[in-house]
Amino acid sequence: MEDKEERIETPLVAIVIDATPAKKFASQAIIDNGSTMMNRIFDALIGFGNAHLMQGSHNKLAVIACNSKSTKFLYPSENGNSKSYHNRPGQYDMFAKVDSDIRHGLSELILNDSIDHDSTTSDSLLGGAMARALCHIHKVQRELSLSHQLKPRILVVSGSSDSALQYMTFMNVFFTAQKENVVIDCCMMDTDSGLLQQGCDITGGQYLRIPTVVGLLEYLLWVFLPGPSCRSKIVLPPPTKVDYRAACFCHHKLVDIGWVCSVCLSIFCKFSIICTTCNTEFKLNRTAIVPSKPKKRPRME
Amino acid sequence: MTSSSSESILLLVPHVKLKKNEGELYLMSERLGWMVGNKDSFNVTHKYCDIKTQKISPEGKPKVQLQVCLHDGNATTFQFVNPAGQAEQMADRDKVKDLLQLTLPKFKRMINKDLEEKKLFLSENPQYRQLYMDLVKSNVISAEEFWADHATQFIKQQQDAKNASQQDVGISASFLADIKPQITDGCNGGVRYLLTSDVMASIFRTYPSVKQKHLKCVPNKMTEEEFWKKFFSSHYLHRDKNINDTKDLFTDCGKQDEQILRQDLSTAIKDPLLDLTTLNDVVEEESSSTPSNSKINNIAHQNMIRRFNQHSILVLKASEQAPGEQALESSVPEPAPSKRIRLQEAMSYEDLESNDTDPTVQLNLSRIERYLNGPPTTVQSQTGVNGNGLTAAHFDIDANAFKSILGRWMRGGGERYNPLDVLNSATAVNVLGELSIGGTLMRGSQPNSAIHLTSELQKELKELYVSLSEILKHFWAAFPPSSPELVQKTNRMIDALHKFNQAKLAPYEQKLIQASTSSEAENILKPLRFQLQAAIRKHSQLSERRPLPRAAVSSM
Repeated sequence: MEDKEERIETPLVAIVIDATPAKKFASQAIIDNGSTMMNRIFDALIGFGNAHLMQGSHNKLAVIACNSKSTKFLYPSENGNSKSYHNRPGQYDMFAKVDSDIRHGLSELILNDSIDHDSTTSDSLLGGAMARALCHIHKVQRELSLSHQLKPRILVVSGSSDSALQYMTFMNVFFTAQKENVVIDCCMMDTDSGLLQQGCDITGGQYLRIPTVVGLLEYLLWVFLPGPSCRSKIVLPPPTKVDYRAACFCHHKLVDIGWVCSVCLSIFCKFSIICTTCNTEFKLNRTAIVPSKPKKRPRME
Repeated sequence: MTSSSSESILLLVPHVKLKKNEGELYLMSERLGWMVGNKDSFNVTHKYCDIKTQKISPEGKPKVQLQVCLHDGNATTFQFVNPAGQAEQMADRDKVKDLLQLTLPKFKRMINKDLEEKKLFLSENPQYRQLYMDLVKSNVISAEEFWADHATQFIKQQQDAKNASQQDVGISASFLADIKPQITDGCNGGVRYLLTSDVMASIFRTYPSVKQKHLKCVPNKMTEEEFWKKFFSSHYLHRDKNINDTKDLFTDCGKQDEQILRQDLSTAIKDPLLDLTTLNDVVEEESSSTPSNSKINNIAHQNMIRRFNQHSILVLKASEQAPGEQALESSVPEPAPSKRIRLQEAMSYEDLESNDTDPTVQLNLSRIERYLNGPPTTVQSQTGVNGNGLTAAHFDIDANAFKSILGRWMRGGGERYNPLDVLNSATAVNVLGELSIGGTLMRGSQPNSAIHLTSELQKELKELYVSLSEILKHFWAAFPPSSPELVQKTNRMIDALHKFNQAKLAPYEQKLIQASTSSEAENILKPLRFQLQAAIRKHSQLSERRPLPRAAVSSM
């Protein structure tokens, strides 16, 4: 027992920013000081990132942004040479770097995209961004020396709702994160996302939909700054009941109990002889299919 | 038993005492007997085949005695008391002895191998010997019983011996040396050897080529005697045989032997990877007059080693053939595969080979997008995910304005940064209010809230559980209530449950509410109440149903 060395805990937060609703938020002006909601939100995110770095000297940060066209690694910046930055007198260099990297990267990402108006109506590549975050976590894990123990988590900040096409991607990301012991937290502005709720539930993270978007930083610092190990000791918003029901393939309605093909595992709400996905025929006893008739009540004389 | 006239009396010796009684000793063709003088029948008879040995008393003793030892260990002592004197007594005894000596070997029964084994066993295992002494000698149980039941190890030994394959006994290695020369009867310079058929058979087995020669030569070309004389004098037998001496009859024996040896060498070794030449002795010598790896120059040594090898090969062959002729036949078609097997063995490692995986069946889907995208989630259909119902056109912001806003933000870091832009105090306090206990976001059960109970409350809770479980156990055990007693029992139990609820649960709940700081009091009692409710429900179900069949019966 004397030889047991404490490994240095290295919390890593990967912030995944969904920048697709940027325009929407940019249009919401904040009356007090003439800036827009978008500014607020982005500044809050930078502040949160730096706050995390401030918690400990070994803490690590990663920021990934995505919109409907692409995903981009903001911090650490992709090509290595980030733009020059000026730090305020007395400001920690790293904070200034984070600040500068995120600002430049994010603006670049949004500007590249804003040419096409359709982008704001299409889906965001959140699944891809989360996957990149997982890859980065994995890379850092491998590069870290044995004296450090990485404690990774992902924080997803998003204002867009689910897209039906991303279901499989999201599920893959969630289960991978579960296997890798990565906690996925989610901070939703304005909308709810069923998929992200499921993800937080699967990985043991915190899901929060914030009512006042202006106070985003406060929410982030209060709820999402403490790591998973501390969360058991503090009182946080309770988890919501997650709706895990799947939708049937034939009518797209949510089913609690249904029929599942044993070959391809596709879900149906009503029995049919042939599975429409894999064309297997089902051989069942007639009695299993025929619905049971209501029992005749005994005649009373 | 009268003195049978059918038996011829070989010798009659009077004046023989047995156990202080005087009588006569009769030696017949098959047995010896002793009887008291005036009687008709033998008091004591021993068949010759029962007699193991005879013993005589030493010369100097006053008593002249002859002891006859039987196989089963008994001994009978005859004393010769010829009144004529000791010399006569000795003469009598000698006569008996000689006759016995002649006759006994004829009847010498092959000592039962069994007996020998048993004796050996007893001598080896002292505990069994003790057991034997105790049980059989004192006639507690008979000998057969002993060997059949109690000497379990002996029985096992015998069974093992039976199961083990019979092995032929080989030839003693020193048989040639054992042919001791007989005492020379006057031959000058010659040595006389006695050759028994055993020895000849051994010679044939050791030197198969000699056997062939013998078949050829005897009795056509020479007599046995000559053959053997030549054999023993030939150089073949001696150590340093000279193969080139053509006068000797047995030189081609030597050549034949060598041929056989070479053949054996080529076929016998089935392992292609075995290299016998690497088995040379490597001697490290500083000043070696002969190089260490050079061949042995001494021919005599070489020859001797060759003969040793030949002998060993013969021995091996003999032992291989012992289990039967099958070995011989089956070895012929084997050589090729065995080499392959050996090579195979050398090449592959079992644990490095892959495990056989189960054969998989391919999944054929006609609608692959279902597999790739999964079940569709019920997403409220929106025209734009970001829109909340609003389309892009509803954003009252145009591209240029957006760009400028974005640009301004980009340059907003560094000196221009004002923290109050991000979060002002009023907002922060509002948010805090929401996040505090009782706030808008904090509705719903707290999974992590700790419930602290004092130890007395804990103890009381445990007791509640135990007593409730006891009542419930009786209640549920009475199910299904087929008889009226069981119905009565269920009713009683339900009453008990109700009483329990009133008397125990309610006050405990009060205590909890008073004591605890959290609102979890009712949650603590939830499982207990659940069990109670289940029992009450079941009972009421039953009591509802029960009147019905009775009514049905009465209506019939």
